[in-house]
Amino acid sequence: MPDHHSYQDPFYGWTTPKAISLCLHKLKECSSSLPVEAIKKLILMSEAKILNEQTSTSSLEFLTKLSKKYSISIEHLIVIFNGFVHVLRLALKPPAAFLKPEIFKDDLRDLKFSEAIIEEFHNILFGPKRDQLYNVAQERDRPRLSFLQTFDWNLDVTLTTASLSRCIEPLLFFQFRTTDNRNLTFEVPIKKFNELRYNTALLLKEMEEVDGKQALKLLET
Amino acid sequence: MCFTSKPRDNIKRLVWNSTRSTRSFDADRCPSIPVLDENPASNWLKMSHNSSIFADGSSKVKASIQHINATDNTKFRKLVQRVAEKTGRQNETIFTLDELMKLEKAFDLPIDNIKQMIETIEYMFLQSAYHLVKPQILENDLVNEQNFDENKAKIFVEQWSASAKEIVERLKSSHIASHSLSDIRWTLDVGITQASKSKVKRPTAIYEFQLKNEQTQQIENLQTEFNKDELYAFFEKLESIQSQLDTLMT
Repeated sequence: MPDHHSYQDPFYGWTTPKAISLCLHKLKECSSSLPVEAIKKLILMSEAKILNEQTSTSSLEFLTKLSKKYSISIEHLIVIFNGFVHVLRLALKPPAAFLKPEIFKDDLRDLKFSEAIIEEFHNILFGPKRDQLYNVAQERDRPRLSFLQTFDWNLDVTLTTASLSRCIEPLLFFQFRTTDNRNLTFEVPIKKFNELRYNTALLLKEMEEVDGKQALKLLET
Repeated sequence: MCFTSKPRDNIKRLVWNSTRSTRSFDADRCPSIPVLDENPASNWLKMSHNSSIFADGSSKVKASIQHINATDNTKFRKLVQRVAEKTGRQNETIFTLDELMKLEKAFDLPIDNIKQMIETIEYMFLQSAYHLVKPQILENDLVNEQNFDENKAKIFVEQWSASAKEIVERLKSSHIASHSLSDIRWTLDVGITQASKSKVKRPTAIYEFQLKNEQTQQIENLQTEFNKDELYAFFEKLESIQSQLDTLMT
């Protein structure tokens, strides 16, 4: 089997990132005092960190507990924890189908992680929460303009006004509530509503066609 | 006293009373009790013949009508045309101060009388729009009830027939709400890479809704982003609104 190094760069980049090299350094120092289970727990905590899950203890409290238990300074533990989170983040960066398990393990071996740690990372990246991890990396951790949280509408019919005794006109009201806490209520003239509907349909059609565009075929993963 | 069942007649009866009272008081007949025939249909005809749609403001417009009757026909026609163009627009004055000065010279009247005349003409247009009067009825009303000169009435009615539709449309579309949607802009972007992921293909629609504040005429922008699913949900809601509109219209 050809060596993957010939056609695929390691997932962590061309040089070892500083966070990971520091982590490895500290791991070597503390390898005597830190048992394997503690390391495994740290790796699990790093997964929770990425997913931003609400655990019973925050990661900082957990690290302080560990540092007291095994009498290692908290800075060492923080460096190690940081390195683990970094590894996971870098592993989630390439497209999902790109990073195969063996290649992932190989790259981690090149970084000189111990086999137990490699196994643990493998279980996390290809484990049950894989889709969730990738979803978080793609959808949640990116800058976004505000989007619509709720959209309510009201369709009334104007029968008479102060200026017209007989006027049968529909009257459309929208209420937008966006994620940046703006609450806007406004009237929509029927002409503008038709324009809005036409433009939305046009946009949807264009979105469907995006997949077929030649220039974007390069992004096939 | 016999009252017909149509509520409109009651209103017309009140109107009739007030026009009667602005004219010379006839001592023989008490103006508050109308004299009615046995036949209710002819009563109704009599009342509609005697009432004016401008009765609510007739005291205000009396003085201006005298001035109107005194003006030149062609000048009056132009004036009426100009007023008709601008009737019903919100937050717009019909003539600027300079134009009012020019009108002062043209009609040889002090500026207050000119203003009164313009207001009268505008008021008449608005009342005609409110009741959606037919031109013939309007002409009769002007000549018989409001003491309009026949030529002037003809000019006015001609202008009304020409611009009625426009004025009513303008009045129909005047907004009361504080904000209304004045324009929609959009772009379709495709995200190809970001800090957390090296390769993505993410079509994103960005909408800019321009909302106009009715009092200040200022435009407020609302920018929102939609991904594919959100855009679909938005479109489905628009479709449901459209189906409701369709059932309303039929």
